[in-house]
Amino acid sequence: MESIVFFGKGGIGKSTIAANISVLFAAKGRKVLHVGCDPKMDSTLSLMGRRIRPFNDQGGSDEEALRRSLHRSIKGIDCIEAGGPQAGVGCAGAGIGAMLDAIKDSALIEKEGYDTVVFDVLGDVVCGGFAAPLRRGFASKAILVVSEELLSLYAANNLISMVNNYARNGVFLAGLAVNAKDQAAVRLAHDFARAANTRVLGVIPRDPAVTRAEKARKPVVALEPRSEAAKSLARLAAEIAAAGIPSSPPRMLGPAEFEAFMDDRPVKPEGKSAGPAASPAVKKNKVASSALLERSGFSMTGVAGGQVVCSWKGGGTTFRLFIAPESDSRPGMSAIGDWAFCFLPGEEPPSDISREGFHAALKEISTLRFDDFISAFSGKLDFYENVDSFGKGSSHPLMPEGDKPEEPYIGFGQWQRFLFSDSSGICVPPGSVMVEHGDNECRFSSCSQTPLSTFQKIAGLANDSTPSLAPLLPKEDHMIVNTDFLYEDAVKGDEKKIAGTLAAAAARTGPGGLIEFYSGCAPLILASDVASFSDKVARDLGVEVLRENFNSFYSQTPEKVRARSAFVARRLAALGRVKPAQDVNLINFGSSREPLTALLAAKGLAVKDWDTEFYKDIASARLQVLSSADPVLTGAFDKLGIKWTAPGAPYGFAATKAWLRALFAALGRKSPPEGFGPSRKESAAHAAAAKKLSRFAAGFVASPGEFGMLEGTWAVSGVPLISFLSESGLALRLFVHAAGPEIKALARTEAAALAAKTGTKPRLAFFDSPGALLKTLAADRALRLVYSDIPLDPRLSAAGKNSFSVAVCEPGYEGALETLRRLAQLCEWDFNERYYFTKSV
Amino acid sequence: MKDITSQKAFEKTYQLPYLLGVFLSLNAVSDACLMVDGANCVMVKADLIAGNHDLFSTLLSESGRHRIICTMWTPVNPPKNPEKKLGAMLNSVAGSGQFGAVLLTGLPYCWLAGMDYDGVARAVSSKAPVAAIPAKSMDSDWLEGYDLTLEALARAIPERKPGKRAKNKVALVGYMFDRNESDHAANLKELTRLLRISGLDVVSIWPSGGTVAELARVSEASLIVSLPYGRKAAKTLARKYGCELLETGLPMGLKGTSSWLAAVRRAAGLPGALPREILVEEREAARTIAPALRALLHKKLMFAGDPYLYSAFASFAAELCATLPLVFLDSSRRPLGAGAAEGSVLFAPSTEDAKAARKALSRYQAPNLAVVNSFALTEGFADGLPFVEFGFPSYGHHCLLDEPYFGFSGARALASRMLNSLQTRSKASSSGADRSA
Repeated sequence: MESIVFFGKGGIGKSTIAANISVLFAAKGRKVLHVGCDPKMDSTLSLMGRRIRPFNDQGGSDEEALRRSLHRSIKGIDCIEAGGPQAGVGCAGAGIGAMLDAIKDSALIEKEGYDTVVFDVLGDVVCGGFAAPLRRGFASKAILVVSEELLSLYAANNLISMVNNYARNGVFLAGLAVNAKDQAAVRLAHDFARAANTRVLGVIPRDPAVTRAEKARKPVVALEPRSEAAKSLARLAAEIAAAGIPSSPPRMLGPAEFEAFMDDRPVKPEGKSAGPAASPAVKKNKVASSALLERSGFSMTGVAGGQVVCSWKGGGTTFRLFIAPESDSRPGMSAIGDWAFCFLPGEEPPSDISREGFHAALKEISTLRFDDFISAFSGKLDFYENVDSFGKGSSHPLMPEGDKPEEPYIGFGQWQRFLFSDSSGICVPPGSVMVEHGDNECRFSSCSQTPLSTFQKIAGLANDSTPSLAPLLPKEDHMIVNTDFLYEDAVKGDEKKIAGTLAAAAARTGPGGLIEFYSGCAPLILASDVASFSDKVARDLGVEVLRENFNSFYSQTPEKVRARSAFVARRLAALGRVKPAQDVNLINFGSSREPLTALLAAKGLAVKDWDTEFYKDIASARLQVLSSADPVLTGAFDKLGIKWTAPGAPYGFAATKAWLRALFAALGRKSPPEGFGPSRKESAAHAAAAKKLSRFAAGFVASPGEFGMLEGTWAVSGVPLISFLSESGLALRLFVHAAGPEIKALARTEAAALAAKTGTKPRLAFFDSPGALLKTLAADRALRLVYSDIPLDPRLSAAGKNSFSVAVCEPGYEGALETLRRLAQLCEWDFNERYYFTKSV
Repeated sequence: MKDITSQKAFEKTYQLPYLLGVFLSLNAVSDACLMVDGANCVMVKADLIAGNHDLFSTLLSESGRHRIICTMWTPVNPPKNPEKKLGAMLNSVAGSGQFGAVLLTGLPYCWLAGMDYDGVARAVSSKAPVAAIPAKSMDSDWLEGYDLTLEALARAIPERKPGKRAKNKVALVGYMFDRNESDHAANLKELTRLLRISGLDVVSIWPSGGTVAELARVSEASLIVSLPYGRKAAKTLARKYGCELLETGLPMGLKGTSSWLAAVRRAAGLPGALPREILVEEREAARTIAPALRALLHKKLMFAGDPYLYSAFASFAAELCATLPLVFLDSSRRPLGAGAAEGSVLFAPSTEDAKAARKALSRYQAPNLAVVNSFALTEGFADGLPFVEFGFPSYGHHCLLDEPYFGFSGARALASRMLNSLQTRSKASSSGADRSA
């Protein structure tokens, strides 16, 4: 089976040529499938004599829909059109891709036994979708249709790059088909073909017969077979049939080269694309590439952000460089062939001698392609140790940069992460609506944490310490909705869906309400027009619509804080003046609300019972107590003069006492008769528990940048963890991975700062590998607990230690005693020591 | 095209996404790695399996050596040539020697950008086979994702070594191994045992929690038994290795198991009827179940889960003299088995429609027992009913001990669960709670 794909600038005559070539092949007895890949749907017009219903209008993407789209035309040619959206909406490229997927999935070509498939593809390459016949490995011969117009040659030049890119799928450039006005045009095409290392397959002269055939909706080779155009097309068909893989591939002219060509100046190959590209038919010897690199002093050390990191050794020095595909090169990089390089910051060759040596080595490897570097790299290194974060292009996982707890899923190979981020406590004001404009995969990109989740961060005042036993079917709240962006939305446009969802959201939030509209990745890539619809809904229905993208769903952008805060203020103002009946309203306290309500009641304060009337609860209390100083609420409260406070979380005896004192001060109340402290009985129980725990130690495996986060920050769910543990009688340890003296010095400074802040004396220990950490932990007999947000962390179990996290911490005096009981229980628990401890350590 | 009953704004549909099926398949092959082109939001989907559904899943790793890797490609800052970058990543994973196979797919927006995953995968040369799974999230569901992942593996594993194949060697392809717990281990043990008694030797089960090398033993089979979750994979394997292909349903229930065994025997070319031992086992299983029938007889069951499991369960329910007046299926519309269409069957309903459908049932059609997956429970489809949590996901029911549901042992175990659920509810309601359910 032979497949031929016609590309070229719009309006240049591709469809005319493609349709005639189909007829000529069919006339030779071939069974031909003619595929129109243009939303204009005019490729098959001359073959069919009428427009046909395209694939994308069949209401399906399966074989049935495909067969409904197939139409038999003259000479037994089967015709199909992809179709697409109206001009300016949706994505025609996606539609073409979907049709080709259906052809592939259904094995239509094999089942029907086509000898030849002719693809007629829309205009220039404006997105990946139009390269679909090449990407999906359908095309074997590519033909570029050109004329004397500058833009047609410009498009052809770009298309050469695309064809070369997909040479791996077996496609090659057969040559140019020239739709020529005159002999000058023919000469220009030949000159371009020479410069681009390709050839002219045929020239179609301007012939009135073509125009007559178009009017009659017939191919010229059928209507006027003796015309000059028909004869030229027959010659072109013969050349196409005979075309084989060229001995060397075509070459895209660089911008300056192309300019010189058009100005009729001598064309000098530019450095960037000077390297001879390998023929798709000629594969380089991988071993030879590796050997060449090794001989020239290069060794691959890793991959970061899609670049190869390699080191060069020579002239008594070693330094590292990034090697990137030329297409991804950035300022400061030097291009050689299809790759570019730059030195790692501060690692340039230090002397003339080494620089000369390096340049000589570079010359030796100048014939290599980027793929050769990858081949030489692959298989030699531990992937996880060398690729940690694709997006950032940074860092070996053991490096100290990025000292910030992150989601556990991001850092591949980041074995040292024991502390993960906590995104709880973000205030989404009740009554506002969040719309996620995305596909079904987006909808399932959240999962409520449960006690069985692999990674957990269910702790702190705002959390529910008895979370749901099972993840829910996302999206879980009736005020959060996913629009279920479908394939047909991509192809035909999503305007209707956006408008409908916004209207429904506006009805739900009501006048003065807030809609947060998040565009997911698929609508973003298609540049969906959200702005005009959101403006209209905002104007017509009196709501505020905030437009965000997928990146900010879980974060508080300044604009989002402003909008949410204004919404809260509007809702509160609408209630008017209400005389507060209660002293305190606890906001965002999760399952801590109940014990803290009891604590406050015992100290004589009246706490607002929790109900679903969020705004009424606020209005009915003198003081709003927040679990954290959320800017959304505090902004609204400040605007309306509502009294609020957000003292440090009451974990541990000292912190609980301080929390109570802060609340009374904010209310302007005198201290209760028995004071703010715990009862005598609670104090005695605490002293006994702390004595018991003083035999043991608790440790943290952390980077120096994380030390400061262990006390009362969001990273530990607001718990003053170091102070709390210290108050509990436990000795403290900090285990730090330190590759060199700088990290050790930094760790000492940060540890001293933490000690000063908390009045504790944590002991520092260093290690340089996972194995060394295991040994260090195992050797410390007093150490029973090591912090990890991974429950029953196997890395700690292997050292015979028990993991703990902020999830064990409970608020208030009674909660602190319960926490101490849990810690003591863990310290004495020997399950891991007995069953998991790896004796070899 | 996706089949969704309701397209109203603000409705949550009971359906699962394509990539969740891909992840499930990956979860079932212990040394396979999946690279997903796209942002890290895809990783969270693993939480819907690892830990919560499968206590022994190795998809996520405490040391960051996850078996799912994402490229972090987003539309906000796309690389100029994402395929080059992807090729680099894939080469380094495949060449690391840490995986039996490496698979590649992408999020829907990457597909929209026209990424050529097949081409990128083909360009990788390494010891580990590399294959692309079509990025079909926008028009396919989780069952399709599961099958196409197996199909990608089928394409990727090596060609067959020459040699004679015994006709009694069979491979089961398209088993839904959604977790590495003892329900599936017991199922596979049971099926392997019953097939052995029937004169057949199981050389490979696709998938069964083992390695890619274990999957590659499929080439030793003369017959491939295609189970519903891997029809495409089974076809590809049969074509690749020149094996006979038999498409079957799931071996559930007493009659269901016997007829399945008989069909496999026939397709393998073994002469005669099933061995007497099988028929004895079937009779013994029936005797074990018999006392439970007193409670199960005439019961109305609600089923919510996947359509293949439903088809098999419907036959089993008929065997128990129970009926299924209400069924919710969490997938796109697809053909159901012959015995599976008596009640009201809703594909991918909205949660509101599902509740309304239950409410609309007449007094005598109201279900007594729900056999449902976790999402049906969390969405309140079975509120007030005794239930058996069944299928994927089962967040509230884990198997640390053998608990099959296929074969004769499976029929006994499943009937036992249904009986106990009904009885627990009876006991609870006898102390004052509503007995009507």
